[in-house]
Amino acid sequence: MKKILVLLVLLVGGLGLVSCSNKTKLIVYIPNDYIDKDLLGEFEDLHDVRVQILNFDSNEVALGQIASNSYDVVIPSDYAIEELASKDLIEKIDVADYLGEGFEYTEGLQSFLTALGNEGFNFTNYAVPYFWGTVGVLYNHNVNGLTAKVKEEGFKVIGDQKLETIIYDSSRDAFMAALNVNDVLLKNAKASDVNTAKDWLIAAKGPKTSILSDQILTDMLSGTKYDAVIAYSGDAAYIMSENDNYSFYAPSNTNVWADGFAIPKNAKEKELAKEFIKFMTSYEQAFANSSYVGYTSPRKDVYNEMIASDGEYGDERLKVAYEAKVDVFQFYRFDNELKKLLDDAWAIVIAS
Amino acid sequence: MAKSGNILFKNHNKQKGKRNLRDVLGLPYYIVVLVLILLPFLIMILYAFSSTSDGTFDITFSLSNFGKFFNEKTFINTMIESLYLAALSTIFTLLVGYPLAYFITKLSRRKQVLMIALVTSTMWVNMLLRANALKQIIDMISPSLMGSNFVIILGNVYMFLPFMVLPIYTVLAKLDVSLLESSADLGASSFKTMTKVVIPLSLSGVISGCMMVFLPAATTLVIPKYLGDGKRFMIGNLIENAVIQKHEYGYGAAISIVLGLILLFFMFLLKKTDKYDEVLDYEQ
Amino acid sequence: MNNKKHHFRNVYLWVLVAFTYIPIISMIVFSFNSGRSLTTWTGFSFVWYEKLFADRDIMEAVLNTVMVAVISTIVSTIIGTLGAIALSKNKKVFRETVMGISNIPILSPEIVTAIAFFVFFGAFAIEKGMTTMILAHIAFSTPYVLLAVYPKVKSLDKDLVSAAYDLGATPRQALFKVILPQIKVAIIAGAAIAFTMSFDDFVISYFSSGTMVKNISIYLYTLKRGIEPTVNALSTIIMLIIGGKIIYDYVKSGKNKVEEE
Repeated sequence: MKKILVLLVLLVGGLGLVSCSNKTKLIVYIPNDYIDKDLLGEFEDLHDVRVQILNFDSNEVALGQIASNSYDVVIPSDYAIEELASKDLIEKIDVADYLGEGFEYTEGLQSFLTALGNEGFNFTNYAVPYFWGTVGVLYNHNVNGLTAKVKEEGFKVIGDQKLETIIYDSSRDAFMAALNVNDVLLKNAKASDVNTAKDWLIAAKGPKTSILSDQILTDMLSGTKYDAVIAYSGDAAYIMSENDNYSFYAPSNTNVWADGFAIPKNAKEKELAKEFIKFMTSYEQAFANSSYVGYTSPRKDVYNEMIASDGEYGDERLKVAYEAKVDVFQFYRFDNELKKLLDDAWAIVIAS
Repeated sequence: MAKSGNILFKNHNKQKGKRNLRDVLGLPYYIVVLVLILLPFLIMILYAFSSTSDGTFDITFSLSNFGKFFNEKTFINTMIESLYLAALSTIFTLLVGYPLAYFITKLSRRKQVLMIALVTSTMWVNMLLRANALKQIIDMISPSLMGSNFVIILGNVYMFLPFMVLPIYTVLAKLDVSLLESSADLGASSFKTMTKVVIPLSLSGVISGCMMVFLPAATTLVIPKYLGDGKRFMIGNLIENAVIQKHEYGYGAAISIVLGLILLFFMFLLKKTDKYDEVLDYEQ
Repeated sequence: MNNKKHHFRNVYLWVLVAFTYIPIISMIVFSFNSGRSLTTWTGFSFVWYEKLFADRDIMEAVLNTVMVAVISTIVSTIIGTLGAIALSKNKKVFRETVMGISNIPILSPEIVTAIAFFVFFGAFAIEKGMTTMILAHIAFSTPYVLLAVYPKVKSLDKDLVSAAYDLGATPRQALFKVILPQIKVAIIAGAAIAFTMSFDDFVISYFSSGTMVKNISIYLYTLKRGIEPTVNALSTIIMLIIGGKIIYDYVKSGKNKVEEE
């Protein structure tokens, strides 16, 4: 009996020692599987530190946690960064400090940043862009007439009961698409608009419709199970690189978004965090990261390399997604009341 | 006289010493029960009946959380559907599991041990791994089945069969063989022996098994996620969505309490049907 | 007639064993698949096993699972055993109340218990993470330990303990040298149950630590970029360990200990 106890204590002690170490730890708070882990290893070796990745499922969860826990680097979305800034939870930065030589923003991203700035929020005062992109329809171009249909109807095809479709499992994105069908922008949506959109979603959610998020990254890599799905441009690019049957289309007025690196005010390792951001945004690392994750890089040079004719996403089909080009677009602003409306409506949609 | 008095006194002190030690020994346990079990449940009830939604501690009595759930027909439907599927799953698990347990008891002692080990060892494999394994098989055989009621029920039966077999087997194994013999001696056919002797006596095992299948089947998160193909949304997912995505503590607590009470009611009904109620601890 | 009955019975048994094990065998088989597919075989390879050990997320999840399971098992076994001993001598009313409350996590559906913990940690603004997960595991394991140990304690021969005292034993010696050895079997059974419940736990872990600290179950549930055969490799290893244990038990003792669940 005593022997077993001693063994167990040694085991736990050993495990404890293995998990802690004397190295400085950098805590990075980022969505699930959104970064190339090999790069972390590189950074660890370069600076002799340990990088710990903690994940969050949604920006809302992250908002709650950032205030009460201490992370060194966080990578939320545009509207969440706006909220963090308004609550004075993240450091103001001079983005020039971070961007190395030859850094230029991709055009699409620049339009986004300018437009957002004009409307009242200066993204780069608080965060260094990480990835950006659009939301659109990923569809099977082999299905008769679907290509034309998608280009004409945009998100409306998701409601077609003859097609196997997926509505992305996110209240914000699903409603953005649903409101888009009725030509309503998210920021202008009133309760009645949300209600109409909700009804549309419920009607669209027929027996051939699934509500998934990340699972598409497994299920769609081969075969043609689904005909049309709502997807992020980055996920679409990744899926299309594995599956020849699909093409991507971003409807007019769809959402353009950007995620960014930010340093919380209660971070413990601010200098190290800065180094990490500089590391990740330099050319080689940004390239590797964009290549692995599949999302569009903020760096113009990486972007150009990717969509060049011999680039990873140079193929016409893939380029459409990676380019993330939309003429008219909308972006998300932080709006608690709207969010509550959407969440409550979404809970009903998924349960019906 | 004095001597025995001294001994008595010494023993009495020892008794007190024992009692004090005993209470001290039990202290950590009482603390765990009080702080880690009783308190959380009380707070959950508190939150359910208050009007606050997020994590703040606002103690104003209100039924708004319950109203939010009951006022929406789709939510009620979700709950009913979950209970319905769970009930069907329980019935099928029983239909499959009872004969299984019964046949195992007919084997030789050694074989019984082996068979029980085979059937129940899967309980120790992580539930998500098993759900994933089943999903892979169904994707191979007939992908169009994913998301259907059939697959959900199949998943439940697959996952929870050991929970049904174990209690029934335990009761059947303890069955006095001479009862069966006397029944045959008195002229009963094997069918009659089965229905009039074996089944009633094994009822407590059946009820345990049913409870141990019905409860998890009604509240599972894992089965809709892996086998539901994004098309199934059950009451467990509703609670998950309320609490983790929307941070609505009070609302999530309210749904949990409603669900818990309904399940408690079913368990109560089930227990009532056992006329031969033995006090054997089988729960979970 | 008897032969037909036997025939039917054997067929039934084998069909059910197949039903139970086919998915598991498929999972093991595909862990050796050279391609990424989980449904089409492309050749034999150990590549996923290599990837398994190189994957920092999975390894961290395994580490977390083991640490939480070991710590919570040790703590809950000690607390539960001592509690069983203390309770056995208490007045009936007190004992029944305490045991009643203690049984709440056992009788409630897991999700209800999970929500209770979630709300509890939230109400006191306790940072969700390793600590909350361990606390939650201790909270639901201890009742099971009690359930396993208490009957044995109850059936102890009281005269032995009295005899020990009469012979001059201190309460401490009585505990360690008389009581504990006699209930050793039940303690081990309780510990085994506590460990299994903790190792496999999903719902309660998920709600009590969210995605701050991932154990194996949470890792699987929140897996984004596809279930690759690395998961199969992990499952195979776990199943080998379980299979090994079963064979060990079967060989070591002719009779099976019917474990209380």
